[in-house]
Amino acid sequence: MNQAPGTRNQVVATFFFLVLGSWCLVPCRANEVLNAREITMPPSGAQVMVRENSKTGTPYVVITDSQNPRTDLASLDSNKYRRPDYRMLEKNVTAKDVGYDGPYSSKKKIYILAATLAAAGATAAVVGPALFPAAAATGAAGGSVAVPAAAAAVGGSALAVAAKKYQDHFQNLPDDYSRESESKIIETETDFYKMFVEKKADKPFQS
Amino acid sequence: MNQRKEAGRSFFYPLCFLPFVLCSCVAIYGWNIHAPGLLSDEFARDIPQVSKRVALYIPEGQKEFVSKDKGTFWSDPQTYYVGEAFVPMLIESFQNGFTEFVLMEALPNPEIMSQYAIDAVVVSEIRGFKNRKTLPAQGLDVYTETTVFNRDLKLIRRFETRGTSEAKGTFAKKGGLEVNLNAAIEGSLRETVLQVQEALR
Repeated sequence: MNQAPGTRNQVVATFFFLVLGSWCLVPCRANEVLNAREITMPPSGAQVMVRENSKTGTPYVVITDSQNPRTDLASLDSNKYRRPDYRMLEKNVTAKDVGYDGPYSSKKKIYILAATLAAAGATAAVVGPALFPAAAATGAAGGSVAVPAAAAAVGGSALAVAAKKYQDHFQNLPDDYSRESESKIIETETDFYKMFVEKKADKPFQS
Repeated sequence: MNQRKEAGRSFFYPLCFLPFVLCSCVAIYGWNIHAPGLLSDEFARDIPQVSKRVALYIPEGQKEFVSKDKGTFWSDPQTYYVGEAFVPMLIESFQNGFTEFVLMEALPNPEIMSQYAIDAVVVSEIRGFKNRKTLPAQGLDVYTETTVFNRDLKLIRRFETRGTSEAKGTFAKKGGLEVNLNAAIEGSLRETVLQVQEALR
């Protein structure tokens, strides 16, 4: 099956027209323009990753610096608790009523403290007279009663003054519980670098 | 007479040792208060979500913020681990408050902001903590300072917030102190997110 020579020439001509024509249509400085756009966006060194909220498991996007990764934010407390219900701070509502399963300061340590004090006191009573017989005689004569009594009197009055400071405020809490939040705008002229890069060393983090 | 002397001796030595024992024991057996570090259901219900791509930058050292404010001179030692709960709660509050939330761990710069089309970057820090304690009640105040910057890192708004939670009988309830601290932090974050939303509107 022979093809006519005229048809072959038409195919070749069409091929060249398409290739050369498209080359002519593209602006001659297109490559430079594209390269220029890349140059105006310098590599930031940032890396995008997805991390999960340590408490809720909800994912979020993180832009991190691969040269200086933030280890403090990557290792947050991951203990899973139920969401707190603030009704448990109200009058006559306990943690059990709202199903609280979060962290708490155990009362056990108070009993341990009491037991430690009792044990130390008993030991001192036995060991003390053997070690300091002279002091025992003097102390027993009168000092032992007077000093704690004076300390108790001073301590009691100071405690009363300190407690009075907020006593009146707490007296009128509705349902024994109240929550408030407020904000105040700070009028200032600054930018990110002035605040967090230049003065980084001045920031105290301990109250 | 001899019996009275004997009785005196038996009380004297425990009393001599008592201050030393108390000093060491209170240091060991003080109250360590770790809040749950989660927002309550009320937060998501009360705070609307805004359609913005917002980045949050948390300065270093926030997680380690600890307060030993025990309220009164005569109170037991208390250590409040404020930063440990504040950071995850801050992240969660911004996840709830904005449709597109990005945690910025790299130091923000205008190139990163335009590269990822971020509308604003927010920097939030704890500024202080106060424990107002009496014998039957306790009030906790958490102070924060937040700054909002635009894409060019120029200031949009700077503000401070205060979250307060006051309750009676917190020391007597299981988890009372912890939840009280959580409520104070949440109060501060509630105001933070609302202010940022308003600044970007």
